[in-house]
Amino acid sequence: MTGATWPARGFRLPRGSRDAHTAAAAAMLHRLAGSFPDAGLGIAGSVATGTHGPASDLDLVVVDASFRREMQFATVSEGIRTAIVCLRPDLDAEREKRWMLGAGGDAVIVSMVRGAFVARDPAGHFDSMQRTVARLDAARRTRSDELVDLWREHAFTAMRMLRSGGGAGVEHLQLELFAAIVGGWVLRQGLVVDTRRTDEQMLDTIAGRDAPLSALLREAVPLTRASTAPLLQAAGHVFGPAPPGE
Amino acid sequence: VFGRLGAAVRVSGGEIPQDGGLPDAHPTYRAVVTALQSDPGTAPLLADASLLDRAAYELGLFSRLLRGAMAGEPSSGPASSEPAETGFATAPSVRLVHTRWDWDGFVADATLAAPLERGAAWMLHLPPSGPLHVRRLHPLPALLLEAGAYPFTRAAAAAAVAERVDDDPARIAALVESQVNELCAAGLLRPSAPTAADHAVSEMRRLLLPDEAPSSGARTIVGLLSRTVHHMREHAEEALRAAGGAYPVHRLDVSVGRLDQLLISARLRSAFAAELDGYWAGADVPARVAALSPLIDVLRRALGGGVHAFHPYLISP
Repeated sequence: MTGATWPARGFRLPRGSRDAHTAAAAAMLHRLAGSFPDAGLGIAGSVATGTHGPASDLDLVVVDASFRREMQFATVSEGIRTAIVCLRPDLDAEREKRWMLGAGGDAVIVSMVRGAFVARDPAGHFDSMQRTVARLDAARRTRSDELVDLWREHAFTAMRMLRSGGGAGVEHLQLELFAAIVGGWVLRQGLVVDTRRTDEQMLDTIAGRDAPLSALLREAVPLTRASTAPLLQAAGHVFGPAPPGE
Repeated sequence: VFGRLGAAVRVSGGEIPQDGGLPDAHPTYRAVVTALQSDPGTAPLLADASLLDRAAYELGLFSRLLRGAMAGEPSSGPASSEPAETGFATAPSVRLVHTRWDWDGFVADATLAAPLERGAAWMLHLPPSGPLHVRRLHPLPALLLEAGAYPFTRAAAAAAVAERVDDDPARIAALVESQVNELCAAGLLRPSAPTAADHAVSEMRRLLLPDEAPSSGARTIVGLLSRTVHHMREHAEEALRAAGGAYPVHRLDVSVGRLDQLLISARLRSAFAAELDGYWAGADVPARVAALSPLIDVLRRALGGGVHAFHPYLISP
């Protein structure tokens, strides 16, 4: 969207009905455009897609080169709970890798940037971020073997610790192993988890495409001490046998 | 009070992990919490009777973390120098506790067979250093501190009070003005932007633009804790409704795993080991949620509400 003409303090809103959530978005965007005139402003989540309900939160993304750090804020706009994720437009190599893996808290941010409705972008920062995410999505497909190897490393580390007893943190190791299994499987299938909805549907997707893995994961949920055995089998199913000594 | 209500509290230090540097009073606190769960019939009365003491103890447990998160926050200024359109918000160091029964009156009057159902409002104030202050509040300061969970203007506060009190509006406005000034002088109310949204933008400018980074460690733990707690009750309800649906159950596991890690970071896990271990050991979702629920209540009380419930947190320095 670089090169588009943006009104001095104006912004666009998603098409569709004008309801309490779009009114809350408009009120907050007006304030943000006034205080951060060069910022790219995006509406993310269900309000961007028009799939929100009365209890939905409003998610906003602000991208500005003048930010000295990246933070998340929360407030209430016109009675609607509102989260504001504030980002700088640049990425370093380590973060690019995490974004490609779609790991941890970064996965949510990537999803927000990817699917955001751009309300305003006078300096082209938002467009730049969305192009970065598109580039990383493409790299994710072409470098999937390398990324699967990274998930395999995570998985084998967790497996090694679980086999040695896991100590008091066994549940955390199980959670890490679960995430590595799903992350590795998604990459192997050439899928991109691009929204919370597809994340929610991932176990259903696994059930539709890989019944043995689905059965093992369902056996492991909820996570208890007894979940370790099916998780170890699931890891073997996705990543193959652990190397000797693991 | 528990004795007069016919409930027993048995203190046993043997169940308390000793690795967390917990206060000496922790076994007593755990015994009270256990007593609340032992008889569903008397639980509401016992919970109300012990609410203030539990809230004070819990705030004490979180005091190091909360003080770290509040370090560097702007201090209050004299309210009278603020223009009339300025808002006010309750200081992030203030917590309000409302009891349903009048326990002070019950304790003071040995002839009462049961407490009077006459609610009382209490304020807990965690100053930057030193002990926690606990004070019973009159109705007007209680109303203003409660309203200040979100910024309000003097005019809005006077209008809200006038709706509840049948008196001359000019007299009410003067009383509100005077009470706001007094609460500001005591550091319990703070001048603020006039609305929560304006407050957020003002915080963004204060925290995002300067070269010097704000203190981030404790602030980020508190911010993540409050968000995790906010979503956890929702996740628990969905997991209960899902009746075996794998994703809602797993999402609750992920949330509790995050909470567990955050409490480890805050060096507070051992204080709530019973709830967390009870969750992970629970055979099914109802048992797991039952073990977890008291901890969710504790966190909501300790972390506060309104504009301070969701502390801004650092994603990347």
